Amino acid sequence: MTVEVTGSATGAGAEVAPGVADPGRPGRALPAWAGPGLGRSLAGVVAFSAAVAVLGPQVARGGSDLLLMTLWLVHIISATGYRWVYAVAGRFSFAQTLMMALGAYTSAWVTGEMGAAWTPVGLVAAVAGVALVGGAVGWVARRSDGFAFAIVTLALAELGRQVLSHTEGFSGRNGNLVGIEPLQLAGRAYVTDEDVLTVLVWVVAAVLALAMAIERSPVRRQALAARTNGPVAAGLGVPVERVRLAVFVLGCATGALAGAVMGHWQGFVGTDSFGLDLAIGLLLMVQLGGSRTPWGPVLGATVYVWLPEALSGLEEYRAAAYGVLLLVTVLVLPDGLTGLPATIRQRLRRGSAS
Amino acid sequence: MARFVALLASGIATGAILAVVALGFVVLHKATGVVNFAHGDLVTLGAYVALWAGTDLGLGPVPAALLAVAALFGVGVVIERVAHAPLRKRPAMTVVVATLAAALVLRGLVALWQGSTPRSLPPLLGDGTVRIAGAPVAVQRIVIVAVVAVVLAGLAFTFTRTSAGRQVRALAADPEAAQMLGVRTRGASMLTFGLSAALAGLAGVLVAPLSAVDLGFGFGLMVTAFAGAVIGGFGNLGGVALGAAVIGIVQQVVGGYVLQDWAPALPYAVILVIVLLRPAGVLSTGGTRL
Repeated sequence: MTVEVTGSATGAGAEVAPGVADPGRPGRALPAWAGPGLGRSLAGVVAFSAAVAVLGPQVARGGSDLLLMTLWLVHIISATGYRWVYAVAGRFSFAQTLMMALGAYTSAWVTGEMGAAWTPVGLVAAVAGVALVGGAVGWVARRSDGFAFAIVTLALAELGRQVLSHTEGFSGRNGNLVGIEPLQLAGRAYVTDEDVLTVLVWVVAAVLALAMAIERSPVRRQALAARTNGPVAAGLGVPVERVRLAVFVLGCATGALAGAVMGHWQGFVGTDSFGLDLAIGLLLMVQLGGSRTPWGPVLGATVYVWLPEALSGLEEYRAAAYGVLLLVTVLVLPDGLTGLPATIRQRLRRGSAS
Repeated sequence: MARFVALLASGIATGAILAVVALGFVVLHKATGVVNFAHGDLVTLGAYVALWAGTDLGLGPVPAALLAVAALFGVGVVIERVAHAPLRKRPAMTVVVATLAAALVLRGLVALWQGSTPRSLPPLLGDGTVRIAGAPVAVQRIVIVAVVAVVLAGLAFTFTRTSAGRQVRALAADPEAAQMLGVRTRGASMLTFGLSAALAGLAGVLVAPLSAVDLGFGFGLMVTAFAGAVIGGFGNLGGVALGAAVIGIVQQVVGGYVLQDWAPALPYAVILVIVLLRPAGVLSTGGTRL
């Protein structure tokens, strides 16, 4: 595939696409993950994570605020996973919540059978197991595009919910599993919201760092090419199916991680917690925050988690408010809140030109 | 035998409802390219409008149902203007997300208007039963089959014999050629949205007396109807209606005899099996036309 080289190849500050020979140092190619600006992005992730770790517990005054902040971090992870599925792989999937649920049940089952000390194994099993499931789904439905994929995953999500409500040994009676062991890592149990928040900050930092690396890797460019025009991308040598599948699986596995941590944190998993409302919620987070940058889901999750607080006393308007927000975003802010400055600049430029 | 007849009657009525839901969805998809995830919530809205007309306006079941269908036609036209027209040149997935948003808004507004407690709608012609081969069959089920048969015949007539119907079909077959030949895209698009929503409303008022109406019931019906549409090839009206009927009958008869616990899951399994058998995609219908 031809990789886009931005900026002037000879001018000062020329940006070099990953995987392409650096013109300044002939014969040496940058490693795949080390795209332009990666250091700055990673510094942003570190600064963000540090700020949340230090300021979070102080800003959150009481129990409910801390709970919201923990939920926010969980949703940053799940929405980042969904961004890979929806915006990078171009898969409109309704099954992301099923992947989260499977992750939660798997890790809970492992720790339930073997004890809380096996939490790391549970988390790995959740991620690996769901990666396999996601791989199977993505492969079977590899030629179902757009809306067809949405229907297939909607059917899968509903079927999965039905199955999980019948597998008592794995997912509890009627799909409700209670008494899940708290997170236990390196011999320490993370029981309170504050404890879990500490763990989640690390997980969020790792997931966002991975997102930044992928953002600048050829994988993302190939996935976008495959999403935009599969046949042309294939003609240019992009392994279209493999790239889309890999990114889809990565998104599913990230969702599983979020679900698993959520289960250990809350001590309870129910199929209803991973229903259609959350599936639409994930879509809202990615669409509202903006799908072009990994910071989009962070911003989207912020609005998604705190909007109900802003509407406190008006709970009955919540569903309609989410709907209006999604509609307005699609109509007016196609690039979401993170794309707002660019959208405004573009409008102003257009206004001054006319 | 009596049990089989009762299950079969139930299956045919369910299939008829699914056919109406699926047709509304497929007609819109074929004519405008829009995948309308708000379709299920339009089914719900239809039931609630009839409920409101019956309780607050004091109308009888039949006038209330007619009012609901007419109102839903109007709602469809409004959705076309608000959520579709501004997005006509945008990518298909953007439009899909917009319809999902419209579904959320609709559901939220219905919840505000009518509350979220499950309600029930009176049957159109009373709650009597008739005996067929020794099995009691609710009159409402017979009404459903009769109404759907008339509606299907009406749709077939409209699409083949009337100018408006032909314009919609032309739009479905080749939008650009249809425009060049003078089909008014805007009018045909509004008509299709209205028709599709009216079909959703009709399904809502027909099925509501058989089950409790809550905010999510239309969405579930829509996903089940997808399975019927997928079996029917997501293409011509006859195929879709037949596919929906098959799903309804299989769900009721097989679910009634051997897989009681799994009956609601059968349509989803059907969709997945079809994808397994036809990896090229559930919607790969080639040149199928309305």
